[in-house]
Amino acid sequence: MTESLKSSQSVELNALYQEVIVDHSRNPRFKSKNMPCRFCQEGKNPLCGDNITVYCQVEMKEKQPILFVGFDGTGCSISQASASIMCNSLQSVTLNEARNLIHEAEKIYTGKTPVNSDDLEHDIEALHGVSKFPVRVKCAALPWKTLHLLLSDNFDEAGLPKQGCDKLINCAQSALNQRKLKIVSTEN
Amino acid sequence: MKATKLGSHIRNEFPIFQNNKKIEDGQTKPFSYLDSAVSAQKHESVIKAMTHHLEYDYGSVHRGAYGVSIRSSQMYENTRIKVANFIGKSVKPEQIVYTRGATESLNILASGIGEEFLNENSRIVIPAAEHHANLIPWQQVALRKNCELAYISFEGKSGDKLKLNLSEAKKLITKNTKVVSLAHVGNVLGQINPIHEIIEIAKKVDALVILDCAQSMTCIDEDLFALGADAIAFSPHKIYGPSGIGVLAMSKELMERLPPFTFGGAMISDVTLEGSQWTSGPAKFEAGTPPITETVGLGAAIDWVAKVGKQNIHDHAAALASEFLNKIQEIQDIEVFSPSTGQETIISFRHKKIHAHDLATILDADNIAMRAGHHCAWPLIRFLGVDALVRCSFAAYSDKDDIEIALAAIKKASNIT
Ligand SMILES: Cc1ncc(COP(=O)(O)O)c(C=O)c1O
Repeated sequence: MTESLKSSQSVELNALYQEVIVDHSRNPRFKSKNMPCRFCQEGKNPLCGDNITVYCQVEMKEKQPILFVGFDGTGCSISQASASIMCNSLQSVTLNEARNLIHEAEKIYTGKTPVNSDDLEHDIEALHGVSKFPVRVKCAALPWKTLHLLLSDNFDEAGLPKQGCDKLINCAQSALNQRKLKIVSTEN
Repeated sequence: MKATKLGSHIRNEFPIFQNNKKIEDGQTKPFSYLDSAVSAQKHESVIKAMTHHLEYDYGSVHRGAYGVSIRSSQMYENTRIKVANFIGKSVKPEQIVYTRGATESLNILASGIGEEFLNENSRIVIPAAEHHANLIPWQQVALRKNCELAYISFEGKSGDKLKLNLSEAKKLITKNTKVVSLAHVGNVLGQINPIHEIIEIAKKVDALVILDCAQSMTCIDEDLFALGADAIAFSPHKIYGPSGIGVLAMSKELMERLPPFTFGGAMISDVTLEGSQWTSGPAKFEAGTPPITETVGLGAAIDWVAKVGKQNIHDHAAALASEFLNKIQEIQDIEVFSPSTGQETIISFRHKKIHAHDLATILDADNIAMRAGHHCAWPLIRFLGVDALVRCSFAAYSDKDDIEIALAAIKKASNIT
């Protein structure tokens, strides 16, 4: 932060764009177009146009799935930073650890868990600044909600991974326009 | 720049500004509302007329034999006359339909034209850069009717090179083209589309011409029906009037030929268990209890705009927009997409290092309202090769302070993210 802002609103703005967030948005971790993955899930904020694909690679260790999470997408610094923080915290974790973190994150970005912003223990706590900006909460939530969907769609009740598609690209096909439009151009 | 024609007293006639000053640490930040293209603020005369109607005259229309209903019905029809005059000298009140918004007006047109005019050999032509409200309804009709859909593209990607590609339009508007629908003024870039030329091309093949005037009703004072348009749509909330009501104006032929879009009370001449018959005229498209107080507000908005003058409002907003454009271009990392003919009232831009949503949040901290996002025109945003834009739009109440405040905040933003 090069300029310190004074008023209360500026304090909130500083909390929103604190160093951890700016750093993750500028240098996102585990972001890649082609990630080896077992599962992937697309997420969108249709109102603002942010979109994300969350990838999940699974390794089995003592019959327990171990997850590695990555992402790709475009959007504002909040959604990008939130995705990067999420993936950074979800390398080599169990399904339960991932689910717990999703839950914890939601409490942080909605302001339900108090956070001492001068003394952050984990990057994820930096998401608390969003809670003062109701329209931006959905930016922070996008990667977490997308991951939540991925996990609930692809793991069975016993916590084991389903078949999966093992595709490198996003496999969510939009159901829109199933009947094809006859689009003509000057070439045809 | 040209001196602006509207006096500063105008801003004081919009109560929203008085009520949204932000006082912080002893400093007053005025409300810089620079998002009038999404919806304009309301003139005090509109608010008073609507409040008065609700307090003294409210009743349902065309249904009661009692005082308030009779008075409300008169006001409802009186506004229809005002709307017709507002659109143009050649337009009659019987050509005006009240809808719920420009979006619904365009849906009524697309769906009805599909039923009545299109088959699988027909073609629909629209620009690729349209607002979703003038794009998706045509896609859906093309699917239902299995007919062709052709998109006119832009020439150039930004600035003055950015224009609707007329030579492509000439090729695409073929003999089987039954309808051409386009925005008069673009809601993202603010470009004024060459509607004279498009109407001329379309009329050579007898195609219907639909104009989406959502962004142009306070800008351009031209009788579009006299020019050859067959229907126009607009939303009163963008001309200082209320939301919840829309306008659809149609030629007499369309009025007769298009089927109703919504079915229910007030639009029938007879109903039996075997079937129903529709009334003729606007009522055919006004099923159910319509917006009522909103028509009173619309009447007041039109009176106010007519008093100030469409041209004066446009010149004022365009002069501010062009000053803003010239100045913002000098800020590092800013890329402007809107053309700069001096006639635009909407300027879209992006900061190469700050995402549009982040910029909008930072501006809000300084009490500046600008829209960030895809502006309901995803195909256009993709064509421009960006994922979101910030849009700054000017109106009758905008002033030079808005520009200075916005520019200062944009400069400061680079230090925050
Ligand atoms: C060009 C254009 N067309 C259509 C619409 C839809 O208007 P409404 O949302 O009032 O129905 C808008 C509003 O954003 C617009 O700018």
